[in-house]
Order: sequence, then C-alpha cells, then structure tokens
Amino acid sequence: MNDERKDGSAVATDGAREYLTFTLGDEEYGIDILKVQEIRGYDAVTKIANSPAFIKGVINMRGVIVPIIDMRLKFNLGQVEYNEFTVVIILNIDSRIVGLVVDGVSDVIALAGDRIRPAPEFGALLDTAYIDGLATLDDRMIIMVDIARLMTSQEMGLVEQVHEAVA
Amino acid sequence: MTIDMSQFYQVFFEEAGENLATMEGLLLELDVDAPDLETLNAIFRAAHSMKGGAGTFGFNDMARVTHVLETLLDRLRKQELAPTVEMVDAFLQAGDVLKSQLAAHQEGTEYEAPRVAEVCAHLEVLASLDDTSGEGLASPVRDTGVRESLEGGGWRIEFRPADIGRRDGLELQGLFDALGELGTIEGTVPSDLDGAREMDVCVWRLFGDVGRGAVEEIFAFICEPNQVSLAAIQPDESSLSAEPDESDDDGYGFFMGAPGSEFALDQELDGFGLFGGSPGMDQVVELANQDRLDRDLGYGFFDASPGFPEPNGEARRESPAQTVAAQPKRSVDAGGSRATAAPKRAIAADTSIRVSVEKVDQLINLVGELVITHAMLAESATVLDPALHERIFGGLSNLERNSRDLQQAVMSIRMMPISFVFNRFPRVVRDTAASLGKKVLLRLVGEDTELDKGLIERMADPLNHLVRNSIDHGIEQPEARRAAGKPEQGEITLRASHRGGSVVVEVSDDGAGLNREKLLAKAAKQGIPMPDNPSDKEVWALIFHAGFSTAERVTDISGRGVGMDVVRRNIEDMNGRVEIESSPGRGTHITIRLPLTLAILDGLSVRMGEEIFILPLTVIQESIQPKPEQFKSVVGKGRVALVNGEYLPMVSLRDVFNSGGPETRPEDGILVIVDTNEGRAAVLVDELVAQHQVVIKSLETNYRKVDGVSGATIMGDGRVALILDVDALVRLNRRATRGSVRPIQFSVTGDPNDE
Amino acid sequence: MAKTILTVDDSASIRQMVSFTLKDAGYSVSEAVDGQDGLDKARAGNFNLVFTDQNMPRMDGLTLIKQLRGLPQYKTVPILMLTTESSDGMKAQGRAAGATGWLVKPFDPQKLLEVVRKVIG
Repeated sequence: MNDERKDGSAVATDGAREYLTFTLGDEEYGIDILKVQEIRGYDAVTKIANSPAFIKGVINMRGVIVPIIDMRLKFNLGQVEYNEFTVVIILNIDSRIVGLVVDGVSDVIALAGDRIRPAPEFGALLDTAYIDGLATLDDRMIIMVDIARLMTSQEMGLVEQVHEAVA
Repeated sequence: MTIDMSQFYQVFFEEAGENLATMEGLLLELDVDAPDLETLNAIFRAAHSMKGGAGTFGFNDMARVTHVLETLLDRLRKQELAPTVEMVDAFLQAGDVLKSQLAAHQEGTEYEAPRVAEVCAHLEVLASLDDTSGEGLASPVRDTGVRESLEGGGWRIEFRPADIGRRDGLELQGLFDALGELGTIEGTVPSDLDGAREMDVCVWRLFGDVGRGAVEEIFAFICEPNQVSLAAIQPDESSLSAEPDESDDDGYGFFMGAPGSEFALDQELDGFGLFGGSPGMDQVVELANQDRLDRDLGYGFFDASPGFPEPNGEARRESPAQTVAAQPKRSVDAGGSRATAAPKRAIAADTSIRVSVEKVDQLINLVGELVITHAMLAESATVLDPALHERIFGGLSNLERNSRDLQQAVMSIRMMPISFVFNRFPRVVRDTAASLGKKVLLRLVGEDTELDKGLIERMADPLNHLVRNSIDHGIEQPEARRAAGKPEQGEITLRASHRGGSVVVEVSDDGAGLNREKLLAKAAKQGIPMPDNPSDKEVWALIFHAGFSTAERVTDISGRGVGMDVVRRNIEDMNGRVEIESSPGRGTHITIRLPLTLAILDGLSVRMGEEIFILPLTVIQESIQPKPEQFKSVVGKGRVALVNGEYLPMVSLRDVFNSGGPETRPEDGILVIVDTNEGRAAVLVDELVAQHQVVIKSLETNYRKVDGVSGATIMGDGRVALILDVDALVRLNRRATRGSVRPIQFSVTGDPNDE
Repeated sequence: MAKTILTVDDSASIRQMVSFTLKDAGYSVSEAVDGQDGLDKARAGNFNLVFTDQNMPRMDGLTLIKQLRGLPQYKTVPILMLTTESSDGMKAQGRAAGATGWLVKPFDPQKLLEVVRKVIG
C-alpha cells in the first residue's frame, strides 16, 4: 500500500488517478487533482449580500473575482477560527473558478478506480450523489468527492440554474 | 498548390455587410425624381463589389442575387432607365435577401426562401423594361438594348482627332482597336500626327451587327457625344461582304490582321485574355520567347531584336512595341525575365489591421490590472514621507498618468461611431412610416459620436423600438397634423453626443406627445399605484411599465406596448438611464444616457460598516448630512426622508443587504440622493470615501448575479468592492419594508457566527 | 528578387485573396484600395505587373490604366483588368485605355497564378 503514496509530482499509472486530499475536522476528503488550480492562504473576503452562510464572499485573485466557500459550513461541521494554517483550494471547474476553505491540505494520492469502494449511506452530511466512494489508505478513510458535480449543483447556488445549460 | 478559400471568408463577410449597409443608405438617400449619377454609381459599385466577392469565394446564391441587382443598377447608372420608387423598393428587398444570405453563410448554412426567387424575378422584370421616361435625363447614350444597326450594315464614324484630344497615334490606335473589337473596322489611323492639322478628320467604317450604343460607349469614354458623328451604313452600301466577324467566334481576336505573333495576337483563354498589341504585351512576348529559347537551347540570352513578327499596317509604327524597342534594354536575370527597375523601397503598409475583439478585451483587462496595481502602490506609498521619497511619488504620478493614457488609448480601440446603429434608421423610418401611411422625415445628428462597440450592438434593439414607437404612437396621420397646424411631414431626430463622460442618445419626435389623463386612467385601470398629484415625470415613466400600452389600437409596428419595459431594462443593463419628456401636441423627447464603455465606471465609494460599495456617479444627484427631523416612518412604505420638500424612500444598505451589525442612526450617516427608475431615493451610508474611476468586473464570471449589485471592482488595497444597482436596491428595499423590518426571505440564510 | 505586383481593388476580400495567393507563390504584392490609391502607389514603386478592378470609388480602373500609361515607367508594364463580365464593350474599353489583358471575376487562386506566370513569369 505504501507504494501507492506519491508526492505531488508523481505520475499516476495503470489507470490510477491523482487526488488531492484535505481535512475538514476529523474527516479527510479527496478531490480530482485536475480540478485544482492552486492552493493559497486565506485572505479577507468581501461579503456578498443575501447569500448562504457558507459563501464567505469574494476575493480578488490577480484581477479575477473568485467566490470563496467554507466547506465546514457547507458540511455543517461547525465554525472554526481562520488562522495562518487555513488553506483555500482554488478549483477550476469548467472554466469557473471557485475557492474552498478547508482546514488543511494533507496529500496527493494516486488511486486506481477499483480502489474506490461505493460509499454506504451517510448521514445528512453530504448527499451521496456527490460522493464517488470511499478509499482506504494506511488506515485512513478518504471520502472521494465528485467536486465538479457538487460545485455546479443547485444546492451550492454558485451557478444560476436557469443558465446551467449555457454555462 | 491549393489555397483554402475559407480563410478569406471573414473579410468578405464584413465587407459584404458594409457594402449592404452602404447600398441601403444610398438607396434611401436617392431622390428618384432627380437621381444623382454619383449616388447611382456608388450603389452599383457596392452591388458589383459584392458580386465579385461572392463569386470568388463561392457564395453562389449571393452572386446570383447581386448579378440581377447589378444588371438593373447598371442600366440606371448608364441612364438607360430612370429609377423609380418601385425599383428602390426592389433593391431594398434584394438587400434584405442578401443580408439573410450573408447571415446564413456566417452560420455555415444557406438561406433558402421563396423570397429569393421572387425578388430576383422582380428585378429581372424591371431590368428588362425599355425606358421611355428616361429621356428626361438627357442621356448621352441611347438604349443599347435596342439595336439600330442592320444586318450587314454598320457605322460611318467621323471625328477630328484634335477635337477629342487623341492626337497621339498610340491612343488613336487603341481606339481603332477597341472599335475593331465590335466588328470589322476599316480606315486608317493617322501615323504622322505631328503633321496633323486642326481640321484633319478621321473617317472609319465599322461593319457588323453593332449597336449604336456600343460605339457610343467607347467614344463616351474619351470625348463628348457631339464630337463624333455616327451615320448608319445600310447593307447595300456595305463595301464588304456581310460576313460575321470571325474574331468573336472562337474566342480569339486577331489584331490588325496580323496573326501569327504573340505580340499582336489577342489571346483569349479560359477566363482571361490578353490584348494583342497592347502596352505590356512585349513583356509577355519576351517571356514567351525567352521561355522558348530556354527550352530550345537550354540557355537564355537576351536578344536585342526579339524577332517577333512585324505587325502589318502603317498604324503599327507608333505601337508600344516599337517605342519599347527604342529604349535602352534592361538587364535580364538568369530566369529569363526582365528585372524592371526593382522596387527596393518598402511600399507603405496598410493603414489598418483587423484584430479579434477578444484580443482587445484581453488588453483592456490587462490595462485594468495595471490601473489597479498603480492604485495599490499609491496606497502603500501613503505611509512614506513625500519629502524623503520624492522620486517614488514622482514615479507614481507618472505611472498614473501613463496608465490612464494607456487605458484610454486601449479603450478607444473598442470605440465605434454610433453611425453603425443610426444608419439602419433611414430604412426603418421609411418602411414603418410607409406601412402606417404617415410622412416622416428622419434627422440624424452626431453620428460620429463614439462609444464602446459592445454598447453599440446593444443599442440597436432599444433604439429600434423607440423609433418605431415614435412613428406609430407619436407622429400623427398627415390629416391630423394638418388640422393641428403642423406640417404634414413629421420629424424624428436621433441625436448622439458626449456629455461629461457619458454618451447621450436622444430620440425626439414632433408628434402628439403623451396624454397625461389617458396614462393615469390606464394606470388606475391596471392597478398601478400612483401618488396623489403625480409629477409629469412619474406619469411618463408609466409607459415603461410591463404590459402598459397607450395605443388605442394594436399595431404590429410597436405591438401592445410590450417592449418599452424591455427597452428600459436593456438600457439599465448597460448601466444607462432613460428619461422621457413630453408636451401635448409638441412631441416626445426620450433621453438615454450611457457610459462610454462597459469596462470602466466613474463611481463614488461609500462605506457601510466595514464594507465599501461603489455608487455609479451617473445616478448620484447629491449627498446630504441629514437632521433627525428629516426622517419619518410611513406605514407600508418603510422609512422616508424629507429632502427638498419631497419624501424619498430611504434605503439602508444594512437592511437591504442584511449585513447585520449595529444599526446606524440615520442622522449619524450620510444620505446619498440617487435617481432610480422609480424616482428619487435616499441611500443611507456611514461615510463617503472617495471618487474613483473603477474597472468593472463581472460577478457572474465565477459566481452568479447578485440582486442589488451590478458588478464588482477591485480597490486600491486589492479588495473587492461591489458596485450598487440603485434600481434593484429600491426594489429590494420595498420588499424588505413591506414584509417586516428584516427581509424574511433572506434571513433564513443569515449566519449567526458572522461578525 | 521577387517580382512586384500591385493589386488595385476596392474589395478588401478580393485584395486579401489576390495578395495572399501571390505572396504565397513568392511574389511581392502591394495593395491599393481604389484607382487614385493605385496611381499613388504605382508612382511610388515600380511594379512588374498591375491588376486593377474596374468599378472603384474615386478613380475607376480604366482611368487608372490610362493614367499609368501616361507615366514613363508604366508605358510597357503589363496591366490586367479584372472584370466581372467578359463583355466585348468592357474589353474594348480596356484595350482602348491601354490594358494588356483581362481576367474575369470570379476567378480562383489557381487561375490568378496561371495568368501571372504567363505574363511575368
């Protein structure tokens, strides 16, 4: 199992794909690394009126206005103080750029598709529709999230649904 | 080598679009009673140019339509036919068909409609008419469609070379040859013109089935019609047997009866040809000879006497070939071709280039970043002592000036004259007025006013609607106008101008004006709440309500009043404003105020709590420091502020945006009086910060539209500030105050942990 | 040294096509947007071949040809006129003005090259 752990520059082989894992509270999540544009610290945001609480606001990233989402709030894991270790994962999903606030980024792993097992029914934390499955790695359980589907879903409210077909 | 023609399509599309617009504009300008020849020529050119391009690039459907169009136009410009209103209509319809065809090709499809054949057939019928009324035009050329010549006969052509300025044997020869193209020509070309006297006369005889028009056409090119006399030769007078002209038969023309040489031989090949004996032929022949020599001998040399056969006839003595032979020979390169005075100097490059809009927009974005970077540097520098860091401050101010200049220069790339939209209106007015039986004159003022390309495109629909509306509802029928003591012909003016960083576009008519009572009655009927004693402005604004129509009858011109609300929304989407003034019997005046560009905005930054917002300067009327007694609470309307004797709805950003935090006491804040589409309103803020020019960024690129906000910008400290949409704010405010003190529909998402 | 060709046409698309095709074949090409522009450019450079459209604003092709023939350096330079119809009348006028030949529009790049090669190699 150890040989499957790779550093960020590792090349996935044999149909394995690379995932970025991050932590939220006690849980570890994995997302497709191809969707990750960059990782940065937390900057002050400009709040957006009348938006859900998990949308912290928008930031200026080199001239581009990027919405910032607090995944803790989204997953109802409770609020923590942001500190210098708080990390924002900048995702690029279909050319839309979104930032995710997470507790920390832990790893880049390569996993073959058959290593991801179907997820049992969770609680209400996250709709299983957005979960690809579970992977186990060194006794760690990683929840594999279909981040593209989650970010474009209606419940995130990031994309105007009427325009979804166009967007 | 194959060349992919599709690479030239884009230029053709743009060019054809321009030609169509030009043609339409000129057609509308054309006075059929006194047609201007230059205008007819210009219209012909537009059609002709389109035909050439369409044929070349394989758009055969367009080539067919332009061909019939051109045929009729050609007769008009040659004054064989006099233009009629029917023709102008047919031309305009053909233009419409071409537009559809062009649009289809741009989409990669073809436009197929029965209309195409109908329009072409109509044009063909018009073009085949023989003109009689055209005599009034004093046409120098008679109808070439009617042949005056007789089988076996011809023309006796008499003229004085001195008269027509053709004293040079070379040119006379050209003329002789040109006539020879038409049939068989007899006569001599005076070779010794130096000795020619003023009164010397040239008499040529031209035999064959040649129309007078064709002969006149050639002479029309070089002299006045009265300087040449043409007399028909009857067949029995013919000194030649009436043989058909051989030169036309097989596509070859023999020059001066001297066949057998490339020089003198007309070479008619597939789709092109060379005139035997013409200037320039010697080079062609030389090339051919050299080629032959190269082939035969395996080497090339230049022979001072190239040995092409001496053409027959005296007339050839002054021919170009001999003229050339007398000149010093120029060198020949190894390939056997003559290097005529090699042009070493660079030929002036084209003065314009075509660049994709994306590239320009990218440039605008980058310049925007530069402006922001400067603002950030300037902000960082505020902690420095200006006396100690003079150079930094000097550099910063240079940087500011340069980046502003750069920004303006880059913006100007996107600027286009508003004539691009205005130019369609002569047609719109003509068609609309005609279908309503009204007489309307359109005046265009300030067509050169420039604004952003994006805005220009988006102005077309609203303006179209306003103009049609003016004709339909504004301008009265001719009888009604006469009865009212006005000229029968109504007038609509489209005016554009720059006013203090904005573009103002006005649509005014001298029609009946809006009817206050009717509008109020309608509002009451539709249950639209109106204040007691509403101002004119409030009444006029009613026509922008959805579904509101003042027309007594429904027409297909401006419909049921749907659209005026859309007009307003379109304009507001461009950060523009629209205002109406009207006086009964005098007309209606609509003013649209637009930013110069969608990319930057002059704004006032205001602080509310910890957030900074931007208010567009265009909406701000004034800002005041209110006193407690200016505020009142009105049931159902929330809080209002008494400003200059008027109660204005008060918008608290904190309430509307539900941003929490301690409530500002109104008297501790500042009221910014803004102009909204529902009248004036007072926006309560904590503090006015500064006035800036900000670069507009879309929130929708990565997020979504946010109610009450039209966009975002980046401030000097790198943070994002939202740009407020005051119209939406007033709406949100009304919703918020109608429901409860706090807007219920948003409070469910309120974040208790947020500061 | 590349042969130089001047193409005179008010249609940008035709100019572009002519220019591209000929440049691609190794000629040096300049463009002019109407007869007057053509005359100015022709005066400024010594072209080996001139192509001119007939119907153009400011100065038409026939006038251009006549004007060019009046310039010493263009007395014998091949000048071809582009015409949409190979009507005899137009040809006759072209000949009278001093054109060397004609080329019927529409034409394709291959035809254009064929003509140019025949005329100036």
